[in-house]
Amino acid sequence: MMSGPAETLAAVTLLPVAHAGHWYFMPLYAAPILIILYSAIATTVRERRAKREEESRGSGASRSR
Amino acid sequence: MSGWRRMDPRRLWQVGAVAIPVVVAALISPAPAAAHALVARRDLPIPTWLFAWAASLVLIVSFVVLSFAWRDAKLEDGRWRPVGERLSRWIVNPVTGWLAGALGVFLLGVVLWTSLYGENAPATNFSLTFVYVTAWLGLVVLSVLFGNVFRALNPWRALARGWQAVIRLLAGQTPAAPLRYPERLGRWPAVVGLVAVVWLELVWGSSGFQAVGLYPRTLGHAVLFYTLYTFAGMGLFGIDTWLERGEVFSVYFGMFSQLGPLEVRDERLGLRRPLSGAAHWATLPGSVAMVLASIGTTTFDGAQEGPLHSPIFSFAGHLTDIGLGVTLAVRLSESFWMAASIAAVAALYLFGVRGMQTMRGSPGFRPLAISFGHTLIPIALAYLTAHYFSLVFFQEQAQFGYLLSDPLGNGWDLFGTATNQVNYGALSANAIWYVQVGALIAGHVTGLSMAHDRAITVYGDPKRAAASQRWMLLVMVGFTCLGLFLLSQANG
Repeated sequence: MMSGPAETLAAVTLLPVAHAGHWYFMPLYAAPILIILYSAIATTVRERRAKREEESRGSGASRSR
Repeated sequence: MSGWRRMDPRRLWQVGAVAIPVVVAALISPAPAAAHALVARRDLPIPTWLFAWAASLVLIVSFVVLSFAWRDAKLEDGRWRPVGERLSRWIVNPVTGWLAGALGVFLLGVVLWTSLYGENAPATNFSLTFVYVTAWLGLVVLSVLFGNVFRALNPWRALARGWQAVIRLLAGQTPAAPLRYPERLGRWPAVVGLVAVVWLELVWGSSGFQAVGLYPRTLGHAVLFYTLYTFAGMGLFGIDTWLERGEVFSVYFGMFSQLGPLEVRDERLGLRRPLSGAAHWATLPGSVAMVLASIGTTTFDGAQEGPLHSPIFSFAGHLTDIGLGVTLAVRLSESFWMAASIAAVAALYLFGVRGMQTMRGSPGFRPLAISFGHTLIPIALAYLTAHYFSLVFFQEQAQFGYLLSDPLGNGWDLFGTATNQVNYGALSANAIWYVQVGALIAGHVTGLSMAHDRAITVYGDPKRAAASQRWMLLVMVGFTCLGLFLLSQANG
């Protein structure tokens, strides 16, 4: 059994752990969203790259003419 | 999926090395809010967040299947074929039209009578459960299954048409509407009305502790006001114009009826491909806002019992500190958070649209947002089903039990059911949860399919359509996980 300052300290350290049950799972709901966000951003980056390449090809072709 | 295919195997190991221990730790750790033993009402085999992962996986698999199997737009042609003439005439005819209208007027009268003259107690008065559960939620289901039934039942339309018939009889002609409806206004009056209807229940009535906390007298006065407002709208702009654009209930139930296969055209009942009715519904201004407001207000209702509970009272506390009364402070705070919920839902959708717009050959932001707006209707339906399924199940026992026998709440027993009780044991918490998860998955897969179909038309090629739809997949998974999170918090 703890008493005095040790008991207070234990209470202080244990409280957040007990209340972790309220919040620890919240990021887990966001995990699938983050995975798909990664995939969507990757698509957009590829699209932009392809767009730039198309534009540079187009301007190169017009210069050669 | 090519982004994942190209992933370096070593990187995959690194991701796994971090992710697997996190998942295992989460799985073996206590259930959410374990510190509060009394809250745990469910005994599910897996944590609720894992349902969100499973639902997301279903959406991802659906997305892949759609990319390969759905190569042509199937919902755009507006094809409709009439059912047999005899069957159509039996269902859609002037007699059934007038009977349905008369039923609507009778029910409006019952609502006014019970709300204004019955006991002013939310739980024992017929009117509140009838308006906010039986009609508001029940007619959504009927609209999806049987088409736009509210058009026939609409009491304000029936009264206006009756009045119009009397004028025609006396004057020999139908008077034209005095004002032309401003096209830019579109369905915005209905959007404002939808938010007002829900606000009245969730914010104004939030001081009560019943399933619907509004007082019957307040509802009665609101119904009277709305009746006058609707007559004014129909009188100024014409009956059909106002019903299609400004009358909240017609626009709201009409929106859900677009998902179903039944439609009446030129007084003839016919069949169309399910979901195809919605393809061109969102073109009127304000339509997308209507769907977003529906999802946003439902989100707020779920969140105020969970993650928004503390912010609502914290903000209300700040307002009381500056001298406002407690009731006013809570109502202002809830109004703020309701607006914030609608804004957050709109932001998620518009974020997805902005992402889609980065694809080559994309239309502008605004046309794209309107173009995909109808794909949110199944999500609005899924949110309503998931959030209110148990409310409807239990409150309808009260509606067709003691509230029907004793509509005023003053001791009558018209049908011998006044002493009936609600059987809360008829449906387990687990059964409710599985219905909620099922509804959310079905709604979002449907929305994803509709978005894919529209993308084929917009981008002209299934491959590019699929690429663009990663952003809509993000929106759908976002709404699914949000919905499951809110439900787990509210039921937890």
